[in-house]
Amino acid sequence: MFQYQFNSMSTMVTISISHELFANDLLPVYKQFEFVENLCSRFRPDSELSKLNQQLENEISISREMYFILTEAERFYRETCGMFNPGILEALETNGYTASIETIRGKELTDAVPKDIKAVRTFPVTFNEKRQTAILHATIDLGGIAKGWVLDRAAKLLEQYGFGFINVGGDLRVFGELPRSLNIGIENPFDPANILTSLQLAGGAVCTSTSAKRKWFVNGEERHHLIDPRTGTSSESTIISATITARTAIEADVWAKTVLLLGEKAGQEWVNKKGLGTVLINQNGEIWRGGGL
Amino acid sequence: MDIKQKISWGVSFSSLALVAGMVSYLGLSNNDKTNNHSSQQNRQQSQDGAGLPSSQGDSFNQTFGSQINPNDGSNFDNSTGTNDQQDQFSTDGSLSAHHRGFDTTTGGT
Repeated sequence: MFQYQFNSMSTMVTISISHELFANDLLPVYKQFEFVENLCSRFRPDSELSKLNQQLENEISISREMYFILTEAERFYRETCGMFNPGILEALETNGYTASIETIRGKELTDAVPKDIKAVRTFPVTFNEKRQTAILHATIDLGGIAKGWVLDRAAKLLEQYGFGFINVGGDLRVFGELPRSLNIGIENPFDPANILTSLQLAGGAVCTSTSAKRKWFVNGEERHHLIDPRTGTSSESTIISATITARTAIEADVWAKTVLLLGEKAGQEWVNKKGLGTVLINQNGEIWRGGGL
Repeated sequence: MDIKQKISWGVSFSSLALVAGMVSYLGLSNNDKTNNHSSQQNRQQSQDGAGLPSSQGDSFNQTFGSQINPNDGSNFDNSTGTNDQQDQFSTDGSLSAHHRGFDTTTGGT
């Protein structure tokens, strides 16, 4: 196996592949990640997302890729009964997440005074398919779904060269036909240097959502990036880490977040209903497995 | 000493002086040889520097592709191209001790 790494989306992208790649093979993959940052980063003022967020209630022509991601977001909004909602950006910022995580992680944000915290109930975008336009009714964040989307795209590019997997900060997508299942260690959310448990993955994707890593403080109160749209504030779910397997990375990413936000009881019911391979770790370090994992 | 002998000495001396002069002029001593070679190299380098691609440069471009933008490529980690000596997932299905026996890990960001 050959391994290649580069930085993107504030994390390390690692490609493990059966076939040696040259720079010309890797460049399109790297470009995909660069492209998605230019498309969906809310911290890049010239990204398409940032421009879109500045034009609320205006009908705007959007790129084919942005249209696809937003319509996928709407599909997940419906599938999760609103638990996945990209319209949480205002709530996220109200809770203090106004800059890249590297600059706020673990810090006390005295300037961020929570105000007007409210639930986010409606889907924030109206589409016109014919004109390929969108009207935003609230600012949106596409961080997680964009990461899943680009993982799936990168996997498509890489499968022509051989088999292997891409790991982007713990979100993992398999490509090609693996000769055997991957043995994947699941980090202890309270001590990421240690592996708490594991799962086997033969194909598709696995993603983990955790409230333990993107954390900061507002007036002494701990906040994290997983906003519960029902309250508009950092989720109080007792699940600290939710790992989900799915056919695609975009699904695994969205569903991992959804299950964590739903909480232990509702989350377990939800994954059982959907038959998703799941590993949940709660605040006491207890592990729950579903979907045959 | 008769005249014949004088001529012979004269010719011998002249020949010796001529050979010494030619040796000096053509630079056939060891030092001169090195210096001349360096000069040739310098001339070659200055030609390269004047825009003629060196064969090494051509080889580099052929290997890595002439379309690569160095600014883009620089973002790739140095580990690019490492082989399976220390890798965790091998084609025969065997595992190494990487990540304590795991092929990879997940934990969210």
